[in-house]
Amino acid sequence: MKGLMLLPILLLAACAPSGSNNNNGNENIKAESFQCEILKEHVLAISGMPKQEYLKSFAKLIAERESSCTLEQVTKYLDAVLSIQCANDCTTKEK
Amino acid sequence: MKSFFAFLLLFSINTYAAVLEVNSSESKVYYTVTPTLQLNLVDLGSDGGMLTVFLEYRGNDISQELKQLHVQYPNFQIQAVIARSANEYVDLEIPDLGLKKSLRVNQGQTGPYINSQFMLTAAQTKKLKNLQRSLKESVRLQIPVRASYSSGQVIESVTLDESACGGAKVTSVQDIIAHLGNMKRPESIKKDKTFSSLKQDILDKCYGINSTQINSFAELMKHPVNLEHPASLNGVTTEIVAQERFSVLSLNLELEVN
Repeated sequence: MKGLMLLPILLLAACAPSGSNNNNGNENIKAESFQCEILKEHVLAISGMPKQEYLKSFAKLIAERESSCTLEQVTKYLDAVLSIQCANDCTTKEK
Repeated sequence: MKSFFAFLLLFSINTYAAVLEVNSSESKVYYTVTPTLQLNLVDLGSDGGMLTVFLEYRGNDISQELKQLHVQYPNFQIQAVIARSANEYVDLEIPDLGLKKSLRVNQGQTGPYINSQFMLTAAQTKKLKNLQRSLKESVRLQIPVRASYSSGQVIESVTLDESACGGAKVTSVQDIIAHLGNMKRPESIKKDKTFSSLKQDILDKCYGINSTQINSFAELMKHPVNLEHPASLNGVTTEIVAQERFSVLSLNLELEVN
């Protein structure tokens, strides 16, 4: 359980640029944490849309993200904090 | 009992509603409501006649005009703009009667209105009654108006061809994200809004998505997409701009004789 709680933080830490010292590293993690929180809120906000619109809105959100995380990191982060179900519509919920 | 007769004639001095602007970017038509100029003549026999000039806005006429505009501009929103008279006084002329009167124009909630009354000679009264069907050509009244409103104007636009979709390399949702994320802003685009609007148009027109079930964001990223072939892709920036238009108020004309 504790491991699950730490997972998003570890994912964010991985986005910090390499070679940064501890202080900068902490700042980067804070900035990433903030950006990822915004991203999570935006993804939650489009929940309930028909699948076609949802995927396009999601693609735009991620393409225009401020975060320096890679697509793979963002995907892992979202899977760690949100659940998603898409049939005709797409629904996202916090885990 | 004094003999009494009445007749009503309705004409339109200007056939069409006064359209100020047909705005394609907003899908909106701005226009000024057409009032009815009512001439009410009371025949007093040898004493002449009393003419009441009344400019009014009638609910039925406004509804009818709105319906016509909806037919003329399907899929457009119709927005009425309140007109204000550019002059405090306007001239009513009926040359066949040798009549020219300066009338005061007031401002109402829907637009300019006139409510004026004056006497005609017996000869003028007789001539006015005889004019009847040629009234539309005989009555001259122009009310220059000023209309102020705000509308969205295209400040910047760009059009690209199908190649902006990304071509065969885009096969999944993550490819779309990578394509949009790495897309370089064309030099002709100066505004962020135009670039964002272009990306939205690419998303709207370039990709079709099938209906397979998705259970995680990892699956979503790998979800396949079909490439469409749009004729063109557009990006625009619109801004709300204050407008001031000058025109002549469109009028319906009605004569009532008692």
